[in-house]
Amino acid sequence: MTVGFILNGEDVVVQAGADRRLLDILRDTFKLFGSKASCRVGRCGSCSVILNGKLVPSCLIPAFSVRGGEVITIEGFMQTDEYLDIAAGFARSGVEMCGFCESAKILATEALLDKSPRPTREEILSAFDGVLCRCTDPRTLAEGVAAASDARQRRLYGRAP
Amino acid sequence: MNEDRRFLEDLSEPLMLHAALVRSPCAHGELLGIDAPRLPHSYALIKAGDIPGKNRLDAFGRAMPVLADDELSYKGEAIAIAVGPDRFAVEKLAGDCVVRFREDTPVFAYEKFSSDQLEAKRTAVVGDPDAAFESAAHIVEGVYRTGRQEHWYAEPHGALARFAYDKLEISVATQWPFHVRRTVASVLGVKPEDVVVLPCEIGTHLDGKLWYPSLVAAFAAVAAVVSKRPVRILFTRGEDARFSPKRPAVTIRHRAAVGPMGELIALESRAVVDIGAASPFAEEIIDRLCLGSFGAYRCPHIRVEGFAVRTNTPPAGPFAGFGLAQAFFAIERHADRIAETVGADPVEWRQSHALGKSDRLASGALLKENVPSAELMDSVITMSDYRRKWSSYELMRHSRAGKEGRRKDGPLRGIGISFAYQGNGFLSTGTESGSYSVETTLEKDGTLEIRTSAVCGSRETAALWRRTASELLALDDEAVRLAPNRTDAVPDSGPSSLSRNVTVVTKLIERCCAAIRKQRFRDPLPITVKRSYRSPKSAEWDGIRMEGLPFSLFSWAAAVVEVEIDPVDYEPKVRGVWLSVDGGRILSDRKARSSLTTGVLHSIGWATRERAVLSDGAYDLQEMLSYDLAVPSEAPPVRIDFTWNDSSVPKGIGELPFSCVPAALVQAVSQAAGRGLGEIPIDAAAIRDALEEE
Repeated sequence: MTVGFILNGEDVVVQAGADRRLLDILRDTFKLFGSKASCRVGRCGSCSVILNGKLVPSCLIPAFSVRGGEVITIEGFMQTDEYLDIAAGFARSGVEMCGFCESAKILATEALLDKSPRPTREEILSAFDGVLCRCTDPRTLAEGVAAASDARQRRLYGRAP
Repeated sequence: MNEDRRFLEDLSEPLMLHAALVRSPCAHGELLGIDAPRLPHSYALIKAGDIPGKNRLDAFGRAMPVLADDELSYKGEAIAIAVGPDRFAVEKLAGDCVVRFREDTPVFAYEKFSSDQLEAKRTAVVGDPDAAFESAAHIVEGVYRTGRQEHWYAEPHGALARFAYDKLEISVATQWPFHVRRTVASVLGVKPEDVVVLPCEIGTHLDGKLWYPSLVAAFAAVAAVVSKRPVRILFTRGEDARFSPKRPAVTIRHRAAVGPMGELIALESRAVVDIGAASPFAEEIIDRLCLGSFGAYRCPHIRVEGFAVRTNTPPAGPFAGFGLAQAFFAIERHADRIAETVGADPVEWRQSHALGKSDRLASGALLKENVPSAELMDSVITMSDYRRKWSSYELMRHSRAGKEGRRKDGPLRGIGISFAYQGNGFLSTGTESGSYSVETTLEKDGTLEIRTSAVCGSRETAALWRRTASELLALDDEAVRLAPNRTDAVPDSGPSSLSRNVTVVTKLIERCCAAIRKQRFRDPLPITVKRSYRSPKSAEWDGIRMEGLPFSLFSWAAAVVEVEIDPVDYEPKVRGVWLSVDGGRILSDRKARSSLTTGVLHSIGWATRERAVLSDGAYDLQEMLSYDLAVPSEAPPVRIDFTWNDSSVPKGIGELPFSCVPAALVQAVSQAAGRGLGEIPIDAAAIRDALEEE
């Protein structure tokens, strides 16, 4: 079937069978490799994307269900000012990621800051419970998200919190 | 986000085929044949007989078949490779193949084993333990068990084989590229130089990608050679979790002879490890289990037995700490049991028995370096306010005893302490018998290139090497680069495991740079220097007799863990972890703290919730897909002190949390529950049972 949706700000149309998932078309059709395929059962979170403003595991989303929707992958998100806030915050705090979970952690941060611009430590750490990976030190990650939040506040309101 | 970081799934080649494995449905038996469905055009099934070279993976004196050809050893063992252009069709084809076999009785038990199951054995006696036991005031016995743990590394196992003129290139996430090269060359029957290995992104591996990638690379290489096309094999997460090696299950039985004042006179230890159907690291694991069985304590009379036992289950393998972590859990729990038996303070008992300079290890070797045991324990006790909390929780425990409905009063709390070391480098003869090198070139334009096959699990390690070189040669950081890691362009720097990247590779880079500094204004540029490392341990360590100095470097740590148990759901919650570490010269304070904090989280996971359970010799798919990994929101506050470093040499520290934290945690839970526990993972049911028995 023909599925039209907005992918990283551009209108796209793709042919997708009923058994195709969003992750498959992102990686196979659009060659967007930032979302990683791992468990394919929605457990590990490596394939996370933002669909209509919400963080979702793309391996569980039937491709046809995104018709008319808006999908943002890490490749699209990297072109935004919001990404620069997070990159700056993570760099400042020395957040180190393995690369496999990196896109999911960045998008999870964006989903969190979108909902809660000044998150508490508990909110921050809970935001990553859906991204299963052994790589990142939780304390540094919490500091990185807090620093990203600061960077965003400065960019939006011109002052440090 | 660095888009240059490519994992195996991100790599593809024109006309690339996909491969999937036909696996044994039988835990033990004889393979009679494979009935494949009618193969579509451009699909093929490759069996053991199609392998052009040797059908075996050789590693560290052990061998295992690449594809089973007659004997089936475990459920999930690879017996054929399905190849074709569509990944999902290939996976279906592999699943549709019918394996004919004659089933024999499988063996899944390891604690009680027959001589046929024995893969490796260690026995050693120091002093006269029999006489010591006869004169003992107390004899303290205990059995301790540690469970299997899944690595859950970033990307599941996989490999891509492609042709580049007259070479075969292999992309694979591995900790040891030259082992992959040797294995693939042997399996294909070609010279090692005809195979080029290009390590791809690996992420956090916890030693899960040490030897198994060589086997997976062999699958891809054979399929590529037979089909004459590029071939990629990539396990699904479920497949990987079910059939790849895990941290092995271990049972250790301790028996201690204790004098009237609580002094440890003699210790008997019997360690049994389930290595599954095969494990190239069985010798290393059993060596470390036996060594660690005596902890970091003095004991004049010792008897140790260690058994690596084969079962018809998927291969076990190394996990951060190899066998030391399991052994330290057992001895630290036994130390608590001894202290409780003789009515001693657990800290004072540890401090009075801890190894110091000029003490001898269980293997008889003299410790040449200072051991800051008292300082580390004092530091961690002060940081955590251990003594006040321990006394307070003891008081609460005693006041609870005998009272009905006592647990409704509020949460139960406990605190525990442990002391352990990390041995840097390999032990077993043969594991590190080669010579490993790093090469550097100072170019005419003033830039420096470092060539090493060492695989960085993180970007910070590479940055550390560049910074080390730039400081030694007074260059800008940007002037130092790492050469692309491919086996035809870099020397063999050995396996990236057991903190070797810090203790061996960093040292070789320093030696190379020091040599360049001497030649810099004497010889014309470019100047190339190569420095090699050969393990000195083979001369000093006898693994079979357990004699000599096992490690060239020791790192030490003391840990305190405080827990709280909800009296309703019995779930243990870690309130805080304190670590005091002697890790030698800390090259990057931030990376060291980050590494330890991450290790603490995953060691808590191993001790409390990560459960890889075998059922009929196999891991259940659904259970493995819902594997209970520790998540960030459960990370406790962790405080780390490096004050007591006693060496200017960098040492490995990444495995210390796995050796320290579980024992301290279970001691804390035992205090809270009022009953000594000796098994991990420890869950709510075990705590409830302990409370019921209190």
